[in-house]
Amino acid sequence: MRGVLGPLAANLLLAGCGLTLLGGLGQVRRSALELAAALGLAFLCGAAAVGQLTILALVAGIPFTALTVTGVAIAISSCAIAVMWRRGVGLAAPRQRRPGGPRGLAGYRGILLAHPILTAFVLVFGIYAVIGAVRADVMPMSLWDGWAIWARKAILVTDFSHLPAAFFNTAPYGASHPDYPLLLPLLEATWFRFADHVDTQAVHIELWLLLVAFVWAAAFVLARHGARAITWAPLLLLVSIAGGTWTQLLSGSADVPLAIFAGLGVLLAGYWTTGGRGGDLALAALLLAAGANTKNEGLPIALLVLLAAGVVSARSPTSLRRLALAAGSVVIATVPWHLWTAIHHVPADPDVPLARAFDLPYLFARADRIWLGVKGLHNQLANQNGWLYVLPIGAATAIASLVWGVARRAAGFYLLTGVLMFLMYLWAYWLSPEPIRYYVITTDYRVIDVIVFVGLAAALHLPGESLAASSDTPRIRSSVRRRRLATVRRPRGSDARP
Amino acid sequence: MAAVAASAGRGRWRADRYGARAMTLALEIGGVLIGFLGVAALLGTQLDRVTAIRLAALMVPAVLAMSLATASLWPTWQLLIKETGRDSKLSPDEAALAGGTAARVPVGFLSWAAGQIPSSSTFFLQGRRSPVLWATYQLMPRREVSTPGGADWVILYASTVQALGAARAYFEPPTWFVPGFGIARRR
Repeated sequence: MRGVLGPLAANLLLAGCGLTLLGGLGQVRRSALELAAALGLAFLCGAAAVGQLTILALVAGIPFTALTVTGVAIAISSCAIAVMWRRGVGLAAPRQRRPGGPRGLAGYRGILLAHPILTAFVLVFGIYAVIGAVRADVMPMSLWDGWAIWARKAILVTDFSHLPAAFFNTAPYGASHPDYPLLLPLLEATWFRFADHVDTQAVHIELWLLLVAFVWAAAFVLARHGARAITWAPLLLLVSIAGGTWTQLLSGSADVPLAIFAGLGVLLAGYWTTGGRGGDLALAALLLAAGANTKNEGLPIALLVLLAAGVVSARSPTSLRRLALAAGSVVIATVPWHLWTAIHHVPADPDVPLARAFDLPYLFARADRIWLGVKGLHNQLANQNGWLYVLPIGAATAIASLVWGVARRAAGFYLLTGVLMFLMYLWAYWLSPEPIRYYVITTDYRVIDVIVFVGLAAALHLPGESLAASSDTPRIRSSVRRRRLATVRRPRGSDARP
Repeated sequence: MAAVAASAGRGRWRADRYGARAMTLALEIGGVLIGFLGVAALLGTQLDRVTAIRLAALMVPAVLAMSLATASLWPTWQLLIKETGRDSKLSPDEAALAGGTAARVPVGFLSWAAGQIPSSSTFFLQGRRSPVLWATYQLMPRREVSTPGGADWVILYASTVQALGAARAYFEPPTWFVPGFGIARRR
């Protein structure tokens, strides 16, 4: 029984912690409907915040137990509630209910009936989420990265309750990328701890929850910013059923979790470039920091996202100051893990030797790798078997928005972010000492995940801006209007042409 | 291992990667853009230009995504259900060792070794190095060390005790699981 109820309690704890965080940032109102709608974003924010603070606790020598995770969640929630209390409110006040308006379940039913597209989306995605969870529950941890890197660390932390340095800094463990960050292993270890045993099958449900929460969270963010369900529901359904998403997610590797955190961060940063709301940027920074604590490339990705946001929205010193603060927060969030690896002499990833990043003779001697890297990445981005055209739709939407003058700043942000990420991976291929063909073949199909999610963010955000920019009632073309007026004014029996 | 994988992948590389796909992504993006223009042109006969363009930017991604999602939904559900049926037949032990089985490691031998070696011990794996990463995973929390001199146990993996050289003096005579696969405890 504990195997089921324990992880359920852990995930409710993360979601509850996330809800208080969202309340502290003034992102949710105190209505049952809005709290329910915010649960996906709350879960991701809770996982991000609790995970990162738990890394700090582990590095500080505090044992990893269910009690530690609970304590961290309560500490974060207490701070968030204190912020709310200082502001003089609980969660933000609920909207005024219209007299005679629908209440309780009848209210939800009314909302669903009034929005057929939203209803269909909730129904179809709900069925898919259940089927996927059942599949995740029996999925064995059989694929290489899943057990060799991520589940290994989760089991170590569960077995030892601390970070056993000898499993990270000795030669036999060098091939398991011991320097990779701990957020994903800690999420898995939280499942193990609360379930009170290591179950490498059921833990896939935790990974599946990240996808469900991403779709839920993106829908909430888009709806909060006024986007209509018709613009986002089909795209969110599309990306969730894309083979590239669910097969990689259930393989236990960290590429899709990184794309989930970074993708939602990019969407929120995109909204910040158009609206300038501090809450969006704060949430973006939290999620980008979670990405930075999920995989090594998460940190440069986060900084590139904020750089792109700075380039397109350098409106005022205040904007730049806020961006610098966000970038600083992201960097600080990764410090504990990097400090621990430095103190314990954990070898850096040999695949990307950062020490030679600007070694010009070294780089020039291997310039032939650039073109091979370009082709590898391009061919994966162009291969739609796994990604169902999400990237072309997003890229075309951004280009069209840029050309037609709809939300140019946000469109430029998404395009620049995607290009910068492409160049970052190209640079990694150029720098790596691994044989280029082997390296590209074994990585290109999954490193592109985060670029695809940037395309998704563009496709989700920009059509809504387009609709907001146009008038509520479509304007009839003036020549057509003149023709119709002339027809109406024409005297009966007249055969004169207008 | 890298060289083997590289040579194995070379055929796929040549056939797939540098062929007709050179312009594919540009064509895919261009196709969607043409869709935008086409819809905008159609709407433009009834609406003013700006509204037509903006409605096209709204409609095309939604219609494309809806068509693709509808076409992919049923096959994806079917595949998930089929895979669930297949994997639900695995016992917990088979599922826990599936990664090693997939990597063609004799997981039965390592399970037997795990039953003999106390969980707080260190071990050295003597023999073929290819299974070492899985072995370090399956045998956790036992820790592998770099040299036999520092190990509490030695695991002989398709090997003999003579292969340990002078270090064999540190260990008791091995216990064999099957010939070539055994363990020996430090004296």
